[in-house]
Amino acid sequence: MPFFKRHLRGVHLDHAKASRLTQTTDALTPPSVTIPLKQHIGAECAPTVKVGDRVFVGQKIGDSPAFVSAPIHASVSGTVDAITEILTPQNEKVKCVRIVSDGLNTVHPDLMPPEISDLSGFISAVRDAGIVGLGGAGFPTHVKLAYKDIDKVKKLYINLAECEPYITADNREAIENTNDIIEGILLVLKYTGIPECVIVVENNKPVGIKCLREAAKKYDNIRVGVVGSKYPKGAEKVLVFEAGGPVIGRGKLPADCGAIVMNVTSVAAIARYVRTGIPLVSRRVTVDGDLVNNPANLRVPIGTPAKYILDSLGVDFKRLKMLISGGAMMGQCIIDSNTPVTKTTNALLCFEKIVTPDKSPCIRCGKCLSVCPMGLFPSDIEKAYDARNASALKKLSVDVCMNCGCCSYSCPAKRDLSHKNQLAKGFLKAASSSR
Amino acid sequence: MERLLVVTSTPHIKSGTTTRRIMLDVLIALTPALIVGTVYFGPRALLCVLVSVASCLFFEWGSQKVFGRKCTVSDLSAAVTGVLLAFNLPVTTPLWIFPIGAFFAIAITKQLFGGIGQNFANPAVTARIIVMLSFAGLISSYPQPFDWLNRSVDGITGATPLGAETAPSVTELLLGLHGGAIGEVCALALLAGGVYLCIRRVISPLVPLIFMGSATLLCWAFGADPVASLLSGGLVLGAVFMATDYATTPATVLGRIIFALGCGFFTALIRCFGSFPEGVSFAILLMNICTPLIDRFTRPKPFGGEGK
Repeated sequence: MPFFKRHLRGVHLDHAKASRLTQTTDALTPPSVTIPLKQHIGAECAPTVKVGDRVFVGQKIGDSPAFVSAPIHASVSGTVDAITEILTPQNEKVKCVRIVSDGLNTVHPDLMPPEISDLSGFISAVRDAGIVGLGGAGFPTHVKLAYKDIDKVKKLYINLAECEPYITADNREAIENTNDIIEGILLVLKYTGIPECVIVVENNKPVGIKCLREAAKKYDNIRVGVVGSKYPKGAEKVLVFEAGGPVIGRGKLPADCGAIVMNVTSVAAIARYVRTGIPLVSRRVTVDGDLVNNPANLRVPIGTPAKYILDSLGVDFKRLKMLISGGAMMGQCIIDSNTPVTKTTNALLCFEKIVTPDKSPCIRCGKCLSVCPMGLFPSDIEKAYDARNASALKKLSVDVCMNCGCCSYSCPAKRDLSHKNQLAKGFLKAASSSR
Repeated sequence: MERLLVVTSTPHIKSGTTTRRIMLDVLIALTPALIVGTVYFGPRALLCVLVSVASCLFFEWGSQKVFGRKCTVSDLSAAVTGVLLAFNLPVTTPLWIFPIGAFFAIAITKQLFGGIGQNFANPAVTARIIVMLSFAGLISSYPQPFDWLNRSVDGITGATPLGAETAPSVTELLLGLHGGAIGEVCALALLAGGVYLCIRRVISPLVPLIFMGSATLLCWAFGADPVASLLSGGLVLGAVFMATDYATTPATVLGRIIFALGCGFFTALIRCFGSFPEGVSFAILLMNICTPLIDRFTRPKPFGGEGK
C-alpha cells in the first residue's frame, strides 16, 4: 500500500521496465567521444582545451563564468581532435569537443578529493564535479544548494520515482550504489543544515526500496517514502506534494516553499566526487525498446555516440525507425544516431514499431482534463492557441504546464495536445513581452 | 548522418483508446437493450433500428460530402445516434419517419454545427423531440411486449406506465414488461450496458446515478410513485446513454454533477407538472443548452494557485 495518501492526477502506464534486474555493465570505450559543451540548463561552456591537446579522464575541457552552468570534463584520455558544433538530443546546436581515445582511460594525475569545510566550499565542489540533474532535467545541482534562504528549507526530497516506462537507471543506482546515495544525502544535509530527507520511491521498485530501507535504517533523519506508481510522479511539484510536502505555487521554486528536490543519481554522484575527486565523466544508461533483445543498463562515458552503444548490443539499424534519448513520454527523438550520450541521457530507446495515429476532431470527452496533474484544460488550450487568443491562454494558465504529455497520451482523438501547450507557452511569452 | 529517423513531439507512446473504440463500446453497451427490444416488440423493432442507423450513416456521409469535410463515418458516432434515435421511438413508428429524424439529428444538429464534438445539443434527443412533436398522431401508441405474437389482436395499444392508471410491479418494470419505446423498456438491460461502459471507463457512474437519483427523489417529493418513476419511461436510457454524451455535457466532474442534478430536476418537473407524460428528453436538451455556461463557471483550477 502506498505510504502517502495525497494524489494528483496522472496516467497509469505499462512500466515495461525489462532491465530492472540486470546488473549494470561497463560499456566499451569508444574510439572517439563527442562531448557537447552544454549538457545542462544554463550558459554554454567555452572550451578550455585546444585542438591537439592531450587530455586525461576527468580533466576540465569546458567551463563558463556564469553561475547557472556546469563545467564539462573529458570522459576518456586521448587527444582533442576537433572543436565543432553538434545538435544535442534537445535539438540545440552547441559547441562540442571531440576527443580521440588512446584506449588507456588514464585518470588526470592532479585529481584529488576536494577539501570541504563549509557550505560555500561544498557548493563549489559540487560545481567542480559538473553535477547536474541526472534524471533528465539537467539543472545544475550547485545552483539548488546555493539557494539564498537554504536555512529555511525544511526537507530534502530525493527523487527515485522514475515514472517513465522502460527506464531503470535510477533504480539500478539504488540497488548497486545504495551507500553512495546515503553518503551523498548525509553530505548535503551536513553542509546545508537541512534537518531531514525523504527518498521518494514508486512502489514498482521493491528491490530498490529494500536496499535503501536497509541502508537508511541507521539514520533518523533519512526516510524512504513509497508512493503509488502513476505517471508523472517524478515531476518535482507532483513528487513533493504527494510525499506530503508543500504545494509549490505557480512560478515558484521548490526551495521557495521549503523543499529541495534532487535526483537520486545526482546525490550519489556528489558522494563519489567527494570521495575520489573524479568528476562526472560517465553515467548509467538504460538501453531498451522493441529492437533491443537484451535490455541492459550500461555505464557509458559521456560523449559516446548512441550508435556505438547500440552496435555493441546488436541493434539492427536497418529496422530502426525511432531512437529516443530519455523516456518514451518526455524524451527527445534523435535524428542522427551519432548523437552522443550526455549527462542527462538516462535511456536510449530503440523502436521499430511506432505509433503515429491519425488525428481526428476533439470529441470533448474531457480525458485530457481528467489526467492533467496540473489541473489544466488542454483541449481548451488547444482551441485558444489555434485562435492565437493570448488573453484566453492566460486565463487557462498554460504557463503551469510541465509538458508531461498525459493529455496527448490519453486523448482518444490522438491530438497533439501537449505539443500545442508548448507552442502556446511560447506564443504567450512572446505576446506578453511584445506588449 | 546516413539515414534519417522518425521524430515526433512528446509523448512518443499513446494509449489504445480511440474515438472509434469508444463508440464501439457504446454500441456494445446498447446491444442487450436491442436484443430485449427485438424479443419484446418483434422483428420490426430490429428493422426500425437498422433503418435509423442506415439513415444516420447516410446523412453523416452525405453532409460531409456537401460541406467538403473529411468523411468520418467510420468513427461509428453516427451509428450510435441511429440506435439511440430508434430506441426512443415506439415500434409502431412509420419507417419513413426514421430518415426524417436522422436528417435532423445528423445533418442539422450535428454537421451544421461542425460535426462530432461541436454540436451543442444531443442529436438523438433533438431529433426525437422534433419527430415526436411533428408527428404526434403517428407515434403516440406504445404496444405492449409480445403483442406482435398475438396476430389476432391488431393494434391493441396502451399508454406507457407513466400515462397509465395502475402501475406495474417492480419485477415487470425491471424486465420492461410494459408498453414503451423500443429500447427504453428494460431497465436491467440498459443498466447492464451502463455497467459495461463504467468498467471500460467510457463513462463515469456519477452522472447516471445522480440523474436517476435526483429525478426519482423529486418525483417522489412531488407525489409520484418513486419506483415507477425510476424504472419506466426513458429515464434509465437517458441517464446512462444520453446524459453522458461527451460533446453536449460539461467537461469537469463538478460541471457534470450540476448537469445531472439539472436533468433530474427538469425531468421531475415536466413529468409531474407538465402536459407531457415524459420529460427526460426535454430535460437533457435543456441542460445541453446550459452546458457552455456550466463549463464557464466550473473551469478547473491550476495546481499551485491562480495568481502569479
